[in-house]
Amino acid sequence: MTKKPPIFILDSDEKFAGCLARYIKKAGGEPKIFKNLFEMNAGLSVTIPRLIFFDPLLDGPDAFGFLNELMSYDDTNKIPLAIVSNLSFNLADFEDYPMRAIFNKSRLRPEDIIAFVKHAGLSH
Amino acid sequence: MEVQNYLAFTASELSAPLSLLRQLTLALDYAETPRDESLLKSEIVAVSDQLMKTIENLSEIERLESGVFVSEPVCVRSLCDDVKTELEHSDHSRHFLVKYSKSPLAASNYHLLKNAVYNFSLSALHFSTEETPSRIEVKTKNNQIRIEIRDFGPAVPKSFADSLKNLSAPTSIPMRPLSSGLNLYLATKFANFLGARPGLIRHQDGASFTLDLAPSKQASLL
Repeated sequence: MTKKPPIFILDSDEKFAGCLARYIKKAGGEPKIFKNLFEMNAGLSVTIPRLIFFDPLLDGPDAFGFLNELMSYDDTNKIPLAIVSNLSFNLADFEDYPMRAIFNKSRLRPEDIIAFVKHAGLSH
Repeated sequence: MEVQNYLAFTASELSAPLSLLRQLTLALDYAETPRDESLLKSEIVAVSDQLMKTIENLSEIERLESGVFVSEPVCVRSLCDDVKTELEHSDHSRHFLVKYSKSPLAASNYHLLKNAVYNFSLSALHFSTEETPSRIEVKTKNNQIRIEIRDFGPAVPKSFADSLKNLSAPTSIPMRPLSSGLNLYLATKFANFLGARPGLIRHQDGASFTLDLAPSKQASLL
């Protein structure tokens, strides 16, 4: 049986990322946490995830330039993306990207992530 | 900065740890093991402690302008050890090193100086790893005592470093969104009130926040 690709979490807030990881495991996914873009790029060189949750505001360079870089490669430009942030974003601003959802950290509930991972067809 | 912008920034800075507290509490139902549940509980306490201390410090700086402080000989080494203990108690996963070649006495105020060192160290704590632990270093040079808080986080822009000494209001820190501009502001306020001359040394692999103190005249009698 083929092992499912992991779900990446890109967030410099390790405690918050740890919470997301617990919800993803509950949904049957395998989370991997990265604190910054350097770690994420190293992770992408090893495996292509089936979804990336990320907070655009990171220690060091933010994730917006990273988004464009993801789009520039054939093997990463279709990875489903989801923003999890304290800032407010509109999904409509990301129509050029495979952005599937935007979650606000101050209102996020575990069931939101679990339902998203399961019903977006990502758990199988 | 206008009062309204100051209040808005402060509210924004305080909402982030509250948002985290909320999430850690919700995550308790998804703890994988009793040990994981225990870890979540200790994280909730740690974030709460840091948030409460920030709020206490905010109240305190409002009273600084109208008050005077008692100047006393302060054992800088003990103070730095106390800050290290307090920080590591609030976050068991992170560690600080404290380095000192001597144990000088500074002419200062223990409580206010500890607040300055603590608030500078809080942002350094976030970047502390096993491979590159953040550190507090006590140095003496040219009849001055320097406390240096070194971290190995992202490099800080020069424009921000130049503005640190005269921060008139809390501000976000470029390249370090998870470091609290509010804590940095509190540190500089306490430091400036004490005459402890806050500074920032830029490194390619991080930053050093500095406090320069005058030695206690009492030390020369020992």
